[in-house]
Amino acid sequence: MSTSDAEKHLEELRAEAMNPSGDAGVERQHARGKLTARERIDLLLDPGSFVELDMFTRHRATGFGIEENRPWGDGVITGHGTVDGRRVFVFSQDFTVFGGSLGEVFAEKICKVMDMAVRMGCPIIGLNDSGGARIQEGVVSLGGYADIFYRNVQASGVIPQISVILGPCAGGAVYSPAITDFIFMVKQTSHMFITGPDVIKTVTGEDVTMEELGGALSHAMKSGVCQFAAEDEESCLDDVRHLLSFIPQNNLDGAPYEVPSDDPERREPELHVIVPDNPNKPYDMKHVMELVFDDGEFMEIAPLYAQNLVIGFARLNGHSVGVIGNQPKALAGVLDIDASIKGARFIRFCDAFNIPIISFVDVPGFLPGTSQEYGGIILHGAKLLYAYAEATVPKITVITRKAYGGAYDVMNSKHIGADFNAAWPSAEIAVMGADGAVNIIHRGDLKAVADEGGDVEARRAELIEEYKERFANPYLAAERGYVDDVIQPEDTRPWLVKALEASLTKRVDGPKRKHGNIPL
Amino acid sequence: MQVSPAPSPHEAAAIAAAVQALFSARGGVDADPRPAAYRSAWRRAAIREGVGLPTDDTRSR
Repeated sequence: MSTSDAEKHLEELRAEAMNPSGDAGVERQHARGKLTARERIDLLLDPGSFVELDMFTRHRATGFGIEENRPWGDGVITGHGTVDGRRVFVFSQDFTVFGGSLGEVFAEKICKVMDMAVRMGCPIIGLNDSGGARIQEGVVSLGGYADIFYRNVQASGVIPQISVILGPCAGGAVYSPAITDFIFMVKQTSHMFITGPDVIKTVTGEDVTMEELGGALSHAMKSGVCQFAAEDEESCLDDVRHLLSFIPQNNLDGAPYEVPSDDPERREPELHVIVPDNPNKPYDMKHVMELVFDDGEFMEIAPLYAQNLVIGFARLNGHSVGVIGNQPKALAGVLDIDASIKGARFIRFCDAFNIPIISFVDVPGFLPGTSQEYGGIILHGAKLLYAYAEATVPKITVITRKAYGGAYDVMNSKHIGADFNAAWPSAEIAVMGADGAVNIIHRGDLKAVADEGGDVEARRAELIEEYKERFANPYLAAERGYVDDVIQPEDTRPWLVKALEASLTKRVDGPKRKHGNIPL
Repeated sequence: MQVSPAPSPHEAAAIAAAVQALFSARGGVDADPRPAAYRSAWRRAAIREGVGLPTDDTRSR
């Protein structure tokens, strides 16, 4: 073959590899309401930045006639490119080739690109659209999954790992995304489950649709498995790009910095009136965050799950920060099992990737009830406590209103290692709310009033006012240095900027150990 | 910043060149827009210690 013929042959092979299932396969994918694997990569990465690897790999399997069909690429596209100029590694499963099923070579390609991502210190993004194990390849497929799981674990806390579910992801395959840091799904077209509706019907008799069982909303609202449920693939991949703008490339990089356009000294008068006079009235903690952070921007993570705890990313004078806040609008901001798990996992991500954590506290305590106790709120609540205490990144807290009981300790109190703590004048840092405290402390007094035929409620109201005056304020904590300052709400942004910039060089030398034993 | 009296074109060019030279001496205007804390050895050491690496060895991971 002459040189020109060889070059022509290469171009023919490349054209074939670019479209292994032909136009019909592409049309079928589009008819399912889904984009192709290559279209997804094009949307995710900066234009023209994708460099493909292993385009000419093919499976080596035999039996069941599979040896007659050896498409180039083996159903997964791998490579690297950039998002906003920053390098990422990516794999994109191609449902049009063997239903995106995972065989030996398919898994090898994913493992190779994961290994590269770790070596280069770059995020790995997996675009998942797979029918599961390639049955013709048997146990080799299962081995391939395990090879990926192992790498997911090794890469955890070293490089950010992002999973985007854009089709089916079922059975053991779900455990790779589950180990990664963030899961994105698309309504109606992505599904994740261990066992599907048919198996469930057979085993338990339950009737459930694919969407109810493993759709984006189910996992975004009920299970907490996914953090983002997008309307379509375009907005989903746009969300991935946005998320990447807040997180570093690896665990040795600092969090990204963007030159700010917002004034660090901006005082926000609206914060002055945001907390209602009535301590039982709710307000929106997300609005507090939007008023404080740069340009009102806050990217919420898992907005539909455990809404009593808000988590997300923002920038403060250009510095990327992780934000956590109790949400008085949902369950009065109480901490429960789901909120504790949600917060703990987020804190551990931020800590692993050197992202400072800012907490806004308005917490009446932990949620009472048998379902919480039997569900293990003791263990799950401890996760949040453990994660906060373990984190060595800058940790800053603003108490806006209630900080009651054990929940005060847990929500990044000074005692568990917070660097800077402030309270608004409306803060109530106490063992419990005034009503409950009076009922316990003054039980005898109130009984005596009742026995004498006096006005119990009037006496109770009097005692509650006394308690509030004495305990429901930030000054007892301030006296002891548990909060560093009591600040006017409108000064929150300037105070936070100074606290954050003072702690950017924070260094903590903790005890050496293999790893702690977080109560899982 | 105001320069008074207004410089001639020749003087303006000289001032611009001097400012440019000053920035270049500091590593350039756009060399690293991050605050100084991001270049702090203390901060670098904190990140390395956080993953159990010695602070003086920049080669190993």
